[in-house]
Amino acid sequence: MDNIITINNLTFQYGDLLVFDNLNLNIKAGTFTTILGQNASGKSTLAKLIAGLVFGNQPIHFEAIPITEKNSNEIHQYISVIFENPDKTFLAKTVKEEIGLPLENLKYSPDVINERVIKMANLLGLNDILKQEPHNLNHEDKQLVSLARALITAPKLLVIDEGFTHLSPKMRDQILKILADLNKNDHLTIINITDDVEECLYGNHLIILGKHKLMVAGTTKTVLNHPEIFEQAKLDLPFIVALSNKLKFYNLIEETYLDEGKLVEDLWP
Amino acid sequence: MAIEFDNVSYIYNAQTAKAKPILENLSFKLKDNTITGFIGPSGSGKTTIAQLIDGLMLPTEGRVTVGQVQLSGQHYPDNLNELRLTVGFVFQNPETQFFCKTVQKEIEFALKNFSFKLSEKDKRISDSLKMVGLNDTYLKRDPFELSQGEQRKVAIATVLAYNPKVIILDEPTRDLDAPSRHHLIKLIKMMKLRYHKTIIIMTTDTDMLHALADDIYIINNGKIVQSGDKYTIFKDTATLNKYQLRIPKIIEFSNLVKDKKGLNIGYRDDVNDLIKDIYRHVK
Repeated sequence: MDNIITINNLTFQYGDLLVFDNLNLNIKAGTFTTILGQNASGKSTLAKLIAGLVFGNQPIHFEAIPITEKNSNEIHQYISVIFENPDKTFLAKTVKEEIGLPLENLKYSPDVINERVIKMANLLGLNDILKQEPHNLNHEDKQLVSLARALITAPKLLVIDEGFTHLSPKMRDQILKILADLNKNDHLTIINITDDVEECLYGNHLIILGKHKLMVAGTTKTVLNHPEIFEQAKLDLPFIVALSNKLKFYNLIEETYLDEGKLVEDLWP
Repeated sequence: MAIEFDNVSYIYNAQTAKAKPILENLSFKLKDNTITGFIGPSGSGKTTIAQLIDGLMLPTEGRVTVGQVQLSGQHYPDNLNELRLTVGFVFQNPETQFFCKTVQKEIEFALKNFSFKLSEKDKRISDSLKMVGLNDTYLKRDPFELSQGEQRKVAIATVLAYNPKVIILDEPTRDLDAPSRHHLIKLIKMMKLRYHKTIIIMTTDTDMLHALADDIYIINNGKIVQSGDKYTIFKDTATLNKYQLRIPKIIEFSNLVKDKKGLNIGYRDDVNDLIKDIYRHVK
């Protein structure tokens, strides 16, 4: 598997504040990676770097092409980014127009745009609000529209920066499951940058950022088998993992479980 | 010592063109020496409830009672100072309000407001630090150089210094890392059990409340939509989902076991107790 994002020896600071010190980080194409980190570990800065909103001392590579200010716009046709608060990014008068906007910018024909928007609205359950004004929606619907707009171009890479913070647990679960499916079936590479450790269970790879650098990267299962890293990063383990570890200690189970349903089945066969 | 709301309404900018109702006809009575959690979405009125209990404002309608002090009508009562000594309020991200060069001065400032005798001052400061698990070496340290968890503890110590009977905490676990969160939960439990405080917590962190609360009030759009003991409230999945509140992970797991296997285990405060229950049911 090739890397879709390569970061080599990147140093980045805001004025005097050092954020990354020789950061090395790779994202393999086709993976669903969760990025966790301590408070102020630079997670949001990483999102901005990948989105091409800021630049460090070295270019980040997208599929081996260095992203520079010159080619950033072109390369970002293949990268979609969702932030915590999508409000300020809405430009159109209706949800339908807003979702289709990126395709309009790429000069797709109205027929194709219409077809794709309807398909996306069906996927995310937005049919009832297509005629509404984006700014008038509640927060959950705003984030869904933001996601629809991000996916409409069939990007190669989707980056989510704390996108689920204000969503209900149910909605968050629904969206993450849809994304996991898109990753599995359509090979969409996904990077989910978040504060909530439970979200790492939806992805197949996990990166933990420490102070100024990468602390660990690997498959979710491998990283979760090293609780000492979570302790070092001052993060809680996901509940199911913490529970599994304790049950292992009492010899009630033999391995770490990532699925609560499976754990229950195996405890009481 | 009673804390009671009697048909309390609060309207922001009442009787002006910009009037905005925040709380609507709230009535409740909190039990002494308990930990009560108020949960609900941002903007539901939780902070306003805290400000009313702390006597920072008067209700627009109805009456707030805190011990011997009653707040209602147009004027503050003569015994308002009694309320200020009885209630301690720890704001959200309280370390953003530090402004002294040493921890000692920071806590002293809180005491100055209550004109405590000079001789008592030093002991109170030392005791309040001890209560939050910090020793005297912290006295001369710069609050801005402390870790986030330590800063949070110092902020709580400044409130504990004048030994209020009631402590209100507004989003106490916000922005805290995992170890600091766990220490804070232990500290709050200790404030109830060892120091016999009555504790009120405004938060969206249902997992934290599950670990330590006795009673829960769900607030939405300035009204109480549900109240009861912690277990009853947290087991009510439908209501929690309706108001977009997270179900505590232990409860979620216990619900799953009940649904799939018909077994009634868990519903414990704490993972270790949950493990013991699982052990008993498996062996």
